[in-house]
Amino acid sequence: MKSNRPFDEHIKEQFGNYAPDVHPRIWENIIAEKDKKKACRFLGIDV
Amino acid sequence: MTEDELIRGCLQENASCQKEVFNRFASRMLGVCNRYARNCADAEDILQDAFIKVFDKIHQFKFEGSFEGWIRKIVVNTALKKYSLRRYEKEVVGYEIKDRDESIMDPPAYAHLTEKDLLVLINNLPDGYRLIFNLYVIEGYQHDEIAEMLGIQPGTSRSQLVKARNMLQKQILELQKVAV
Repeated sequence: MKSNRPFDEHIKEQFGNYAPDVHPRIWENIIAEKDKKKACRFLGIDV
Repeated sequence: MTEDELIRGCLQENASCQKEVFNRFASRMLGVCNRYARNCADAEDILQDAFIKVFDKIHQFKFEGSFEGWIRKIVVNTALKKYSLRRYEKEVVGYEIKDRDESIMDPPAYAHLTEKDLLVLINNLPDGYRLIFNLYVIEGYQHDEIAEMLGIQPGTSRSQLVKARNMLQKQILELQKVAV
């Protein structure tokens, strides 16, 4: 009996090593968000 | 630096350790985000939010199991939250796909498709189909686990998976028609 397993496995395999480039902007945004949270904590504002 | 040293550095909010963790895992995690997201902009938002959570919750990592697996769970949960809501059961698609209408596609029809081709097709799926397809086919969760994660019935997870596969296979067939 045929199954969809080969189809699923092909898709899973294709994404096995999938690792696209990450734009440096994302890390900069994370830093900015962390700094904002730190400042809010210092000022006693809930974040 | 070993992974344990990096994690301990992150526990002390050491910025260079946090950056190194990001550098080591961000690319693979963006790959995960791209599969769950509707588009690249959403994927980058999910990645960003997920890494903020990773650093906020790092004290919850118990040094048991893989650190990458722990990060991946946060990334997946962040993606699920972005598109969450109990709306999967009523999701409207452009055309009707029956739950049981599961066509089986032969490997030659899709063997040539790379991750880039497949990503476009997966991104085109409605939110519920896309999330469930990713959770079941790529992440390897069972329907009862998916149901619990999404707050839906296991039967809904099953039927949405069938619909997702059918829709993907229809898209692949349409691509082939265009190519001929």
